[in-house]
Amino acid sequence: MKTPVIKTENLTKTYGGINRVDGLNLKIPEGKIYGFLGANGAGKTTTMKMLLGLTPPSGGRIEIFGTPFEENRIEILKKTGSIIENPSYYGHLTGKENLKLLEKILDVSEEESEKVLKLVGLYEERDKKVKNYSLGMKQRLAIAMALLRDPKLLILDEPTNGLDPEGIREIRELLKSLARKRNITVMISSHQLSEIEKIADIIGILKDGKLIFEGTLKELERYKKLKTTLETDDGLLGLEVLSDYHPKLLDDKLVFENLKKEEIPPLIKKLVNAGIGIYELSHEQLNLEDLYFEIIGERDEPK
Amino acid sequence: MNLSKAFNLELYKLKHKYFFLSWLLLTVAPLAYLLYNLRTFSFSPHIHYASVELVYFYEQSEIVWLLALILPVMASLLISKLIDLENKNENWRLLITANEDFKTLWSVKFLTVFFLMELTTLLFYLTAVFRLHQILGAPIPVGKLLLSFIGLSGANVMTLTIAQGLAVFYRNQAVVLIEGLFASFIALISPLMPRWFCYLLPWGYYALNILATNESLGRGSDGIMNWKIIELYPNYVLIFGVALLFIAANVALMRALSKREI
Repeated sequence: MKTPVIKTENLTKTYGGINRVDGLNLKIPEGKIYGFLGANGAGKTTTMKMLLGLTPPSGGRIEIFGTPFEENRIEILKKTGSIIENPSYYGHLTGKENLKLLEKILDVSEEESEKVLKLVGLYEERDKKVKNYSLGMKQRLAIAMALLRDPKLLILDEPTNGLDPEGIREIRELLKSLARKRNITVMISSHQLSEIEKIADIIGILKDGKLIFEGTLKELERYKKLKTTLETDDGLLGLEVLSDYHPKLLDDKLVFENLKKEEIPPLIKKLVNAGIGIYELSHEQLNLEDLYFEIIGERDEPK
Repeated sequence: MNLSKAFNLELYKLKHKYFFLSWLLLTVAPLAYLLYNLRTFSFSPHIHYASVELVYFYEQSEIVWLLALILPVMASLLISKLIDLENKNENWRLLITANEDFKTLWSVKFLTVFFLMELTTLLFYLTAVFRLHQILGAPIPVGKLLLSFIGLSGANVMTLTIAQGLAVFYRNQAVVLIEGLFASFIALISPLMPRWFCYLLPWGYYALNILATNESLGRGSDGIMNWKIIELYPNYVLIFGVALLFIAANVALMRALSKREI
């Protein structure tokens, strides 16, 4: 089995006595796009910052490209491009000058800069000051800057934040083609599953600093639930009558999880016998988005 | 990354920033005032110099007063411009993840502003000394003037360390700019304050480098006040000692800030 590009063991970050990242064990294989999901404040950015050496871990171990991060920081960062939270750039310089600055730091040729500017579609706008770029253009410039060092790994924290649907689609296609053509491993974070499911090969879901799911989308689908909702004229009495089915009362509606189709007629009969009027019944399977919100919300977790 | 490469990068980042124009304006305006004063320099019968050296020293005290007014403001303004380049858009992250070292960046920014402060100080000294030499034709007391110049460099280290620490620590650059104005006020009034006041505040160390002062001889028969110029002997051991302490504090601050979360 190939060594994972990113591997963490018990990675922990504590702020003020609270574990913001709690014993994280990540494994990201080479050449894959890893979608790192979680609600705001789940610990995604902190994890990515630790992976880039922007904040020291409180505990645990990080290996990138099969080598310990602490001892090989310089070599690892040479092969790693990143965007954390917002794109970084010098607004008073032009796009070309921003890349020129990085050329000097990274010792890469001007041709490389031109190549990445063309790749992200900013070549025509290269002589414009970056402060006059749109948000989408700034994001693309940040990606160009991340690509300049010919990375083997890209760590991108919510790179589509604030972009319009067209901008999101452009970035998505760009990342897909990078992973495919250049065999770059991409770790991309988001709080929206809809963004990640179109691009990621593997997803990891973080909740309160803990990794509560890691696998493919297909594997996640196994946790899809059936949801039955009943609207009656007396929810409280219904709750009592149907206590064997363990319903929950949400917005005055009785909600059942994983109720089989065949169980519905006797359930209705019980309600009618108790003199409870039924207004509406729905029986559906949760989609992936609903499931994701259930996972990152306060309800039951799949693991 | 080596320092010369880091200096080149710093200069590159300052493109379109008018950084050196700020320095030029802060230097040229008071320098023009100094030149005007020296142009009209003449010996007054009411000021008594015991030696020709004291003419140089008394002029040095005038220069220090001017420098005390502008150098703290210059330190705050220029370092805030350099640090704000990285504070904006989280550019520290861009640089650190591109393998730039925080300590190198800190040192380069410090040295850039320190060099400009020293250049301003040197320009003031050279202008005054050569103009007076032209007028007096007397030998220049190089040794004492040089020592006072180095002493002022010590005060510059102290002023700049405080300004840089504030500029990195507080993202709002108004903090360091207000500190600059406050420091300039303290430095300006220090020559009028008791010695202990100057020892207590780092900006008071400009005044501790003054080489001469005046002492009243009372009114003459014409009713005009007469003055005697007397030499002062700065305590360089103390000045250099405190400056060294500030250099150590600067290094400690740099190390501490390099470990903070970016």
